[in-house]
Amino acid sequence: MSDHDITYLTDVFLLTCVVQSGLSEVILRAARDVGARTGATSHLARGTGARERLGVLGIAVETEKEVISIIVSSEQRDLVYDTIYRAAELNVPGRGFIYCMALEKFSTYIPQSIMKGLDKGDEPV
Amino acid sequence: MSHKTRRFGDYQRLLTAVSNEISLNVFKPKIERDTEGRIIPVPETRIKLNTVETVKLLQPYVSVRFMEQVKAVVPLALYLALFQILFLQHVVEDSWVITGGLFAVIVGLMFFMEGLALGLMPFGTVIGSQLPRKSPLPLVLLITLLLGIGVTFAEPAIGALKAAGGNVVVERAPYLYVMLNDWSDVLVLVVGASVGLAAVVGTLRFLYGWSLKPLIYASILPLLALTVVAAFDPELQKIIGLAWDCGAVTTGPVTVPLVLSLGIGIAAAAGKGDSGLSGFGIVTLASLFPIIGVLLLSLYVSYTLTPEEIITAAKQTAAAARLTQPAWYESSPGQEIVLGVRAILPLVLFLFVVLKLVLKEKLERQGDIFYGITLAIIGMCIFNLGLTYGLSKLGASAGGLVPTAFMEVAGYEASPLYIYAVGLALALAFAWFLGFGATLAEPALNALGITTEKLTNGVFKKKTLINAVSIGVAFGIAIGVAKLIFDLPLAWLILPGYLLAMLLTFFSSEEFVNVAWDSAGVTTGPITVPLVLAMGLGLGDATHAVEGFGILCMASIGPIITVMITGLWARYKVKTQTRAVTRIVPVTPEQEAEAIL
Repeated sequence: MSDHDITYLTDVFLLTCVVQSGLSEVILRAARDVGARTGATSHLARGTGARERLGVLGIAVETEKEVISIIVSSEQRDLVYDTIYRAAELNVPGRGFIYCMALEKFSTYIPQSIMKGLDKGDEPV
Repeated sequence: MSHKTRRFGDYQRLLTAVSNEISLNVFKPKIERDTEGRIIPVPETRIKLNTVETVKLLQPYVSVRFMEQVKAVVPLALYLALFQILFLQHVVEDSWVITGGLFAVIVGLMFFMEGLALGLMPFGTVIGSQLPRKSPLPLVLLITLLLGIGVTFAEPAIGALKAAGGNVVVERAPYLYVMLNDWSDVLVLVVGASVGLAAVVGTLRFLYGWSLKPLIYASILPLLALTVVAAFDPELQKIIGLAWDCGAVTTGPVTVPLVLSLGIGIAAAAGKGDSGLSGFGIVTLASLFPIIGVLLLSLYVSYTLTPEEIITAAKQTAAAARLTQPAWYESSPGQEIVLGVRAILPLVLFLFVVLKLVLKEKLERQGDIFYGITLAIIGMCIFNLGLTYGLSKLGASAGGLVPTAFMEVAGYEASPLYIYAVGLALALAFAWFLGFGATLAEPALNALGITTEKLTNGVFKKKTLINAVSIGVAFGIAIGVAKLIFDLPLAWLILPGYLLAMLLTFFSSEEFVNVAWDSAGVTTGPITVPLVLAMGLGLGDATHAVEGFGILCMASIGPIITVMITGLWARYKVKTQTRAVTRIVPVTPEQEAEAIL
């Protein structure tokens, strides 16, 4: 395989959670435990919505949010999605939300050892 | 092939969980258009929550903030209580009242800190970033000065100082009595003005990049001179402890962030905000200037009033108080509430006036700010109640009981519990570990540790700093307790301590001087101060010392010395290592010159 080749990974989904700041650790651990192995990107953000519309109770919802993006395979999608939903307790008001998008393709560096194994037909470790 | 194990429960849950799909279109608001076809803005609807949902929403919000304070209060209180039970064989008296009081401290601090973050900090941020750009420097400095007074009144630990006034016997220390009772407001005002002045000088320091060292020399020398003057007067002598303790009380959770945000804002507006040392120094000066202020005030009082006048006046007021029923605002719950409101409202009004009249700015989220201020006031009132019934009581009982370990104390038949030497060692060890543990848990110290590590490029690790400071405070408190036990004059301890600190300052680099002197201020939070103050007063009472102040000031000088010694030691080690490395390489004259440069 020459350096000019690009490997496109398909059957990829992007899970994005927007949650109150401080929850990212819980989400990352939960996702890793059920096999989301590409890791995750998280960034800080500021959000509006529930805080304004809740009136006095709005003070319990912080404006500081964390946005966590996790890339998973199509087969993992539902498991990771549901796990995050439960781990972050998104069924509690004001915690945040999660959504999922299909990605057309996804490319990154794939370690040589894994690529060789794939060519031979092994299942990647 | 790799094998994965998954919990069967997870699998089952996945299978059984009910998922249902609803189109988001269902939630779409109806869009109406006016006659010309323009969309009428959709009104914002309120989300209504039922009780269960409300509880679920509030539960994490409250529990996080509650646990934060529990972590700060409970270990210390437990330590004091267990020490009394295990070593002094004495069950804590009024344990239910004290438990209730400590609970009030936890709840009060929780409310207060949240209120501070929501209601007062936005003012600090806006004023800090806008004021220096919009107003001339003299006006900014004047506002800084006034802010110093305001934040001092709002500092939770100040209440402990006032509470300590009730325990002073007027015949034994008339000037101390008058300062803490009739003149207590003036005392806080002087302390506040000194903090304001410190903020002004500290800000000027940011602005012109002054070194902290000359400022330290310039404030310590008159300070020591005043202390010596006071030490020669048998009556004024008793006030030295109070004066030096005032320095430790001032730098708490209100003063530091508010004054710093203004100071850093000013420096940033002048384009000088980026030095790694910006932010340091104000805390140091804010803990030194009040001592000068209080000593000067006591000199003034000693010129205007004689001890006999004070004693007769105190007797008259005591007699008058016995005849009249105290008004609701002078007896327990009312008094704390009045104090709480009086602590916060002036500061808020001042900040509001600055914002409206000087800056002509509007604050966003007025509702939040109003809520925050209310919370801060409620928190302050509850905290004051907890201070009276929890921290002060616990500290006083611990302080009163510790001497039973080694000496006879009236009212305790079994005392002394141990042989003199053993009991004394036990008492000092108790003080040492109290200081060590209380400091280790201080969150402000953690923040300082991170800054220090960055500042020194990792030479001075966070852990090293925290240990150095904790050990310093531990020895400080142990020495302070020893001072009370042996009734040593405080001036004897202060003079060599600060002279040594000045000597170390001379030899240390600018970074370490900044960190070391600031570390003294961050260690004394709203829980440690009342506890240690009350413990000192109780201890002093039991050992028949004239006054029980001075422990806090020893706890301030301790870390200054240990941190600078650690810094010098680290530098010495780095130097010997580099010397060992360079010795192997043949040194050319050019290299030698470079090394010297």
